[in-house]
This record gives sequence, C-alpha cells and structure tokens, in this order.
Amino acid sequence: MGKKINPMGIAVLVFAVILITLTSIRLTGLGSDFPNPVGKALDRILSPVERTIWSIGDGIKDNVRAIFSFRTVKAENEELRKQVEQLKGDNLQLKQQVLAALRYQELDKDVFQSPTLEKYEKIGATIVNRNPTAWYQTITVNKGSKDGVKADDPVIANLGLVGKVVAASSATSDILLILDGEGQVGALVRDNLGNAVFGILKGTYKKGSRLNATGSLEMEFKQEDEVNSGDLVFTSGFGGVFPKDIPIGVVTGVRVDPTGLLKTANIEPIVNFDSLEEVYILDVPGGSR
Amino acid sequence: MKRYVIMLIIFMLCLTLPGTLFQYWSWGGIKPDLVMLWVIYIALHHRPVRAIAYGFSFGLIEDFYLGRYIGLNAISLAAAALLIGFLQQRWYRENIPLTMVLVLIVSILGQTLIMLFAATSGLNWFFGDALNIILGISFYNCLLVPLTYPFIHRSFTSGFLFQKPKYEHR
Repeated sequence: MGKKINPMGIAVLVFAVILITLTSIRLTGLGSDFPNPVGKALDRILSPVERTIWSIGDGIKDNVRAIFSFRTVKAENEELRKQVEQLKGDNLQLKQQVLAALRYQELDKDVFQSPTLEKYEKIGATIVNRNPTAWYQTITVNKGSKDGVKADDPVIANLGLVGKVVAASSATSDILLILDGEGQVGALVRDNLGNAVFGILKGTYKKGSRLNATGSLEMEFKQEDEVNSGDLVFTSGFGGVFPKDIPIGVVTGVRVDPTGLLKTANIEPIVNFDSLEEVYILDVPGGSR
Repeated sequence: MKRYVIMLIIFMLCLTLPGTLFQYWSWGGIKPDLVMLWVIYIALHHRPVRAIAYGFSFGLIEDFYLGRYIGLNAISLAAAALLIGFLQQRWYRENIPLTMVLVLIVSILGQTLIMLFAATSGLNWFFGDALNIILGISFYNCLLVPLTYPFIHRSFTSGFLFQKPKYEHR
C-alpha cells in the first residue's frame, strides 16, 4: 500500500521553506556580519584550485598570444627598430624634460601623499579571484582574518582607493570595489587653489554601466559649488571607514541637472581596476571583526 | 557513490570556473551561470522532487560560497529545477537545439528570480541593466549547451552518471 500524500502538509512545508529562505536572504545581505563556517571551509578548499586555474590560464593566455601574434610582433619589431634610431636623437631633449618632470613630481608628491595613511599598518594582498557573478563588483584577496584583516578595513592600491573589505574568512577576504553602486565613499573635491568641496562619491557600475567592467564614479553637488574638470578627488575621512586624503580620482566632466539645482561630476578613478593584481589593506583600529 | 562524487566535483567546477576561467571569456562582464546550467542538466535526468532537492542544495552551497544573501540561489535554483520537472515530460531531451531553447527559457526565469529576490533584500536594479544581465547570462548558458550537453546526456544515460533503476540493484 502506497504512502498517503497530504497536500495541505506539503503546502505548509513549501510555504515555511520559502518564508525561512526569504528571511535568510534579507538577514545575510551585503555588509551583514554573520558566521559562515561553510563558506569559509569552501574558501579553504577551493582557493588552491582557483589559484591553480588562474596561473594556468595566465600561462596559456600569454603563450597563445605570443604564437598567434607572431607576424604582428615581427612587424612591430621592425617598426620599433626604426623608432629606436629616431628616439636616440630625441633622447637628449627628453632628458631635459625628465629633469623638469622630476621637479614637478617633487612638487606633486605632497598632493598624493597622505600623512594619515602612515599611521596605519598596510597588509599586502594578492587578488586571487574576481566575483563569479555579474551582479556585484567584488574581488577576493589571499589575506584573511588570521593576517589581521577585518570587515570594513579600507583597501588601497599604489595610486589610490580601491574599496573596502566586506567579509573576511581566515585565509581570504572579499573586497567591494568603489565602482559598485552598493558602496559609497565620503569624498572631497580639491580645486587647483586647494579649496575643498565635500560630497558623497558613488560607483556607477550599478547605475548606468553595469556591463562595463571598468565602471566609473560620480558625485553630486549644488549648482553654486565650484567643481571643474581636472580637480582631484580624495576621501574626506567622514563616515568612519576610509581615512582622510586617500586619492580617488580626477574630475573629467561636470553635467548640469535639467532642473538646474544640482550638477553631477564624472570622476575617473586613478586606479586601473582591470589590471589590478596587488592591493594594500589598511589595518584601521575599530573595524568590525 | 562514485556517481555522487562525480556530480559534486562537476558542481565544484561550476562554482569556481565562472570566477576564474570565464574571467578570460567574459563578454562585457557577463559570465555564464554554470551552477544553474548544471542544475538544469540534473533536472532533465531526474524526477522533479529529487531535481528540486539537488537545485536547493547546490544553490545553498553556492550562497555559502558567495557569503551573502543566503538562500537567494537556493530558492532560484529549486524553482528552475521545478520548472524543468514540469517541462521535461513534454520535451524531447535528446534534441540539442530544443535543449538550448529549454536552457534559455529556464535561465531567463531563474536569473529573473535571482534579480527579484535580491530586489526584496534591498538591492535596486535599473530595468535596462537587469535585462542585459539576465539575457546575457541566459544566452551564454544557452551557447554552452552544444559544447557540454552531449557528454553530460550520454553520461547520464549510459556513462559515469547513469543510475541503475532500483529493481536492478537486487
């Protein structure tokens, strides 16, 4: 005799599973801090596999490119030989320009060096994975809580701000990039006279160019705020996550809102997120462990 | 037992490949949802209840692996498996073009569910962006069918993944 199926019982069970799942989705969203031993165990198991695939993939990519582009490389080589001769002639002139550039760099150093950063310990980390889904802009690095990394730690590259840590397992950490619309940064725009205009910087990855892997940034200002192309954007230190004066990008254009009340500045990040391979995680005291 | 280990290994590969290998073959940031594709294949070769259980379990593991929105993929993959359960009885699963259409339809619905459940948790998508991602992932999944399905189908019907009917075990 077969088992009797109770349709009401099945309906209640299905409803309960859906309700529990929806609650769980709600409670474990981006930025929430919940214990995830299964995820950490999976990370530990799959990280070596991912690293191996990455290294094999990089090796294949480099070799295949060299083989298939042999003719192009040969033609380029001949062209470059000609250019070398010409460049030798230009070398003397360039040396003078290099000296001028070095002087400019010395002047510029003060702008891009932040004394607030020197207080913090920097943890060097290598990117081992990028988010496998197309829904968020996150990366995974090979340093985790056993190296002192904790949620909300700011992440920088050699040129400027990258994002913040959103989850840390013992051996790896997930970093939400500033390009993602989910993360916002308290920022200031500094014009060439040194005056600062404060605002909130948002990633446009979510808004208009989610399919654009590089993404971009934007900030909104009042109509009367003085913001121009070429102005530099730094973190303001407000919000409690990012220290002050970390370079973020350069204003590339300003659009006026149709209502005439606001204007939006497009900001090009100074960090090249596509070619990013290593980052520094700042060990800021007071982050959530 | 060997069958389940192979299924688990394939699932693990589906979990890691989009973030590694398919990073080289992504189209404007779009990568295939291999876990969904694997659940569709499993659902095509199992009874609906078992397919839903596979979908929910694999989705839950994927959620833990991603580390956020626990249950999002679990419920979406379970729903995709349920849909396949209904469709597979009326579908000719040996036919690859038909399977491509099936994968396309189920992927679109599955990704739409992911988007809708994510929206209930506070993530807001612009309609155009969400549509591009849903269609992009679904077409990518669909294009992978001719490359992967023949092997998987053969394996399920006569190879490593073949499950003997219960009466043959005696």
